[in-house]
Amino acid sequence: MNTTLGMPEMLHTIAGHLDGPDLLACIQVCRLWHKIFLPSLWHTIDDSKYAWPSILSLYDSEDSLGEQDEAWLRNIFSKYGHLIRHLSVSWKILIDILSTLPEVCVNIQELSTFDVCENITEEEESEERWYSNMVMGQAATKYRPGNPTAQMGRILDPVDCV
Amino acid sequence: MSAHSQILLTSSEGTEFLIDRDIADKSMLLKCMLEDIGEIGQAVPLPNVSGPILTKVIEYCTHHRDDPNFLSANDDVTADIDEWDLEYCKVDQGTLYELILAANYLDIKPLMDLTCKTVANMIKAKSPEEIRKTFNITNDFTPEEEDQVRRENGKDWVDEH
Repeated sequence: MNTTLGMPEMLHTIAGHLDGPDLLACIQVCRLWHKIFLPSLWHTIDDSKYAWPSILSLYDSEDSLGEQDEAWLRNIFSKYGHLIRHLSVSWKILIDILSTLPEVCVNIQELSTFDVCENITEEEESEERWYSNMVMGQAATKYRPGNPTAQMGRILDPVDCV
Repeated sequence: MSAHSQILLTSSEGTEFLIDRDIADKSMLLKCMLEDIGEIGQAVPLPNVSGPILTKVIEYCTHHRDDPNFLSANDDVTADIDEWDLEYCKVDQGTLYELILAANYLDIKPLMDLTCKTVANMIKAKSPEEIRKTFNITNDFTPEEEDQVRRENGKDWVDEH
């Protein structure tokens, strides 16, 4: 390998100029790139972007592998959850899985959750987003009572989140 | 200290470059050094930077000498590279890497960001194998590791790009 391309400072700066799909390709290039680009890949997770919707919609489809799919999600979040700094979740399945993994996403700085409701009007939806889209630290206390995502607080140990 | 003072730099081959102080100040390394020890009236040796690369670096700093947003110039990762900078980066890969090394060593953040952004653009929309080919990188994963990386990302995120 060209020695410059092995320079971590340079690779970190490059990572800042790439997003999900390109970072995913980068971690598969070689061991060094895997190590350096992995934190960038997991830094920001938004389950409404890239292939997350098609992955997560599997659970609602006839093609669902059921427990096998769930095990895959559980496995990758257990392994890489500590790298997540910004998390945005709207899929119920992901919320369910994350809330059973309380000590995984310990480094989150910002958390947004969107309620998963059926037959929601657009107006209601924007209101829900307004309520739900808030910075971590307020997250555990500001959810309205009875809100199904209130248990999200369990994902995080507030002591670890500054 | 006069704003019009000049600084003498020596490249790795010993070639001397006389540049204006405000150009030298674009490099945090030189700026801090000149502030700390003052102008010593001697050439500043830059053993890590060759003449042709130093010429390129000075060209960049000179073009951006009156740029009020110089330090934050390339902060916006989504912004397109401006036309002059784009032309400036049309060099062979070896020169591009040497520019990155020089920008890193001389601590010229906008040049580091620009050159790294250029490399990032060479990575975009490529497969891992195409990236290896572009940068001449050897795949040093064991078959097991490669399989694991692929399995963990098996639900191909690239689909929805």
